[in-house]
Amino acid sequence: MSEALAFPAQARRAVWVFTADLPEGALERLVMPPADALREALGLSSLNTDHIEVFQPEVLEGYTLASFLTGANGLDEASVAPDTATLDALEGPVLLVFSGALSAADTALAPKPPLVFIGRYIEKSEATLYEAPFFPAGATAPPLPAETPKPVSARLIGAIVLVVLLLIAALAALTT
Amino acid sequence: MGFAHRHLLGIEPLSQSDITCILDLADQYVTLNRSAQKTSDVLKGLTQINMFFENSTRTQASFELAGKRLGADVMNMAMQASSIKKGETLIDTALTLNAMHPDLLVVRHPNSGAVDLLAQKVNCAVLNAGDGRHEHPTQALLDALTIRRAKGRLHRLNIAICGDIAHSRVARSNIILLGKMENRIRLIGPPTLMPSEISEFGCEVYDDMREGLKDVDVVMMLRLQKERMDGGFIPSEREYYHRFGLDADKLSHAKDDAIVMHPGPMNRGVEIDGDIADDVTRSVIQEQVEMGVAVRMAAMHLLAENAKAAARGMSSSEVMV
Repeated sequence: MSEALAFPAQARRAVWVFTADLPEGALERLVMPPADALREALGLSSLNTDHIEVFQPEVLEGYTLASFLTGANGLDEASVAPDTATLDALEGPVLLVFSGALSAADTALAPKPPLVFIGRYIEKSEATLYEAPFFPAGATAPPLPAETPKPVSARLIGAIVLVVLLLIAALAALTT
Repeated sequence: MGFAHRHLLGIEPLSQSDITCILDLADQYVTLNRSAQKTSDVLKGLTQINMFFENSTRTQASFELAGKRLGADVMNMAMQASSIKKGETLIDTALTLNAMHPDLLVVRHPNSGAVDLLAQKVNCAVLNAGDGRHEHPTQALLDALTIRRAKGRLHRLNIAICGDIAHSRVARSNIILLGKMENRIRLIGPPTLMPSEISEFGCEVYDDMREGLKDVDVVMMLRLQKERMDGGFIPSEREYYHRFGLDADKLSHAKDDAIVMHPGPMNRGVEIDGDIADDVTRSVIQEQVEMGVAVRMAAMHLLAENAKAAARGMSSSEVMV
């Protein structure tokens, strides 16, 4: 499996770009909910179509497909740059699958024809994950205080007493 | 004083005098909002569309209230639930909007840059209500108004911004605004939640709350997003609160009259102690909500005046407020 089809590390937003060798309008129809045929073509167990776009690149008047990905979708320029020429030369409808469309049950895309995979582009990472030190090297972390049991609130005790009284009253009414 | 902008897309393009112009007008709207009358007809006959591609009840309600108090016809479009989103580009959306002839468009979008693209494509004034990790200008302006009213000035203050700096558009807009107004800014948070290009911000950076809060005038807490709690950026909520949550002990290192801010909604017991948040002698969190409506009224008023002036063939710098 290509690494480009695997889902990125946590919190990295990504988009996968595809074209399709299909008659006019067919790709647009594939995206209409429930979009089962598209889900199967992408090799996924589920798909949220709110995070999918299909369009003709020529509608991006004033933008190229590459600049649309970076300028309007916040994707990292360094990620898109190697494929700029390929993206900007695409003709016919393009399919954008954003990471929000995918579920936690899947870990990678497995696209089948008629979809043609162009590339995966990711959002710039602004921070490091916890595998980097939560504290800088050499710093001494103060100890975490011991967890103290939470006191039972007066409101909870009141509610329990009320329920018990109501039960006694109901039982008394039944026996009389 | 003039405000020479067609859109409000971020704090970055604003000058000191632009910021002061918005805050001065917002001050007048605070007075109006506290009066019995509360309404004005500045936006009468104009159409405001609130287009939120991300859920945000508070910000959307604030913009809606602001527009209605100024007499605009306000329409909310819940884009997440709307079929308009499916299979359409932002440019399709812009063309749809142009057909509706709005005068003001308020947009929140999860992607950095999406609001800029819409502003280039639509024929009306656009207000950025938050885009990705980029900017949230009205939040920074309402924070600035809250600080100015509480401290009597908006310069030469020591201001600490604490928490998830890396993923926060609120932090980014505040750093830019407070820097433009010549304040000393400290960023406090774990290294895992600091941006990689932190040195470019021109701020002091701390990973110890007690050290970072020493003698500050303003403590600005940031919301820790749920996905950061689950996403491997922090070891646990409990440990995060222990190290970086604002409690009475950590706050005691700030100046005695330091104010506490939070953009909301708060995770009590994660980034802030509930008692601190509710302490009316220190917390200005409720004032921030009030200032939000006034700042949004001021911003929409100025943009509407500029649009009217442009329609009359005047330059926006000729518009006097």
